[in-house]
Amino acid sequence: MIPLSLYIHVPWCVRKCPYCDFNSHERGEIPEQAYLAALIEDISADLHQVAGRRIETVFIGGGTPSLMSGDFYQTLFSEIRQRIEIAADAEITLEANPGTLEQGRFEAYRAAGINRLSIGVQSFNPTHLQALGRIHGKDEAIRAAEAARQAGFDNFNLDLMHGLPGQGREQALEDLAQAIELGPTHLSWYELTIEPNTAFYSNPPEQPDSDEMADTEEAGFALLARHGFARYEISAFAQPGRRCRHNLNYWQAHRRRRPHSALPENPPAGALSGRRRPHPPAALARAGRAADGVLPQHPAADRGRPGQPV
Amino acid sequence: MEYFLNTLRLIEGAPASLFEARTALSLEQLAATLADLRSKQLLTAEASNIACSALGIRHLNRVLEAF
Repeated sequence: MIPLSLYIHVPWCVRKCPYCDFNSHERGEIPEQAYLAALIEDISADLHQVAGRRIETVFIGGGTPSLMSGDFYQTLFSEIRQRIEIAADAEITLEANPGTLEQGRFEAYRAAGINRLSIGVQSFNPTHLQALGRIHGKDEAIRAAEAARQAGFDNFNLDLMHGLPGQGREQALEDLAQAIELGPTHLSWYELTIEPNTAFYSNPPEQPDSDEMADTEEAGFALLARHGFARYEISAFAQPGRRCRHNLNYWQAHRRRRPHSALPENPPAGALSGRRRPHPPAALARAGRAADGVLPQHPAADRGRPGQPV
Repeated sequence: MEYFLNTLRLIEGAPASLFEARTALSLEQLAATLADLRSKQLLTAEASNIACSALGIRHLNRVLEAF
């Protein structure tokens, strides 16, 4: 039996990033209660398909899941557990944006049962962060990793991109070195690719040429390997025993035309197939993020998706 | 083919037997494609596993286009 995975989508952001083709929308006030009710209804409607099974992995992706309160996730998981068992050793990942960090929020996520974070850093370089339209700076990214650890998250991913506009090889490697220094168990390192239906597609930035990027990748892979990060997916790297189970399950186990994939493509979206929906058609471009870089998504001409996961 | 889009992202690929289990299609139909990619050294040689070679990972889009 294929392990059962649950994907929960949070489709809102403070600001839409110019490279992002995921289902996400800018919104000031988020209707937490209404969305909670809609998610529970969505998940409940799928339960008959998975009777007697238990959830082994959960991935909460976005959008920006860290915009939601700790109470939202505590209630959500309490409601889910009333309907279906979640394995005691389940991997439960939440994507967090360093620019949305409120004091105490990571502790509340932890209390809700979330045991893995995927932090969407993308870069530590202020110029490159700005080019990517990110709402955080270097210090916030570092603080987010430290706050994750202090809140008890000993298992976290950092999402990084390379091939950024104006980024040289040394700068890409500096980003990687800074990320490694923060002690993640998992890194998603994917190349920025320009997807249809994004601001970058309409107005493409200039990226390093492919030879330059290939040299950068080779040096980055070597740096990661020296620090114990084994490449197990095109843009995902993990310490021993820390591969992202959710994304592995998705990549290895996904069946075409599962009943779940017929669910509406609009949010709310709790998917018991464990799949990020809607998946961009140019999915092969997203060799990374699997999540952590899950997928954030966020590669193969190639990149992972920003943030997948991973 | 979505199956390969997913499994060939993984450096270790996936057992050949997984293809039929997941897709309910016969791997026989892909024998020529697989042989071609292996002859170009884009896939690893062993028949029990379908995985990109180091070269294939660098040219993943090209490999995926073959399916």
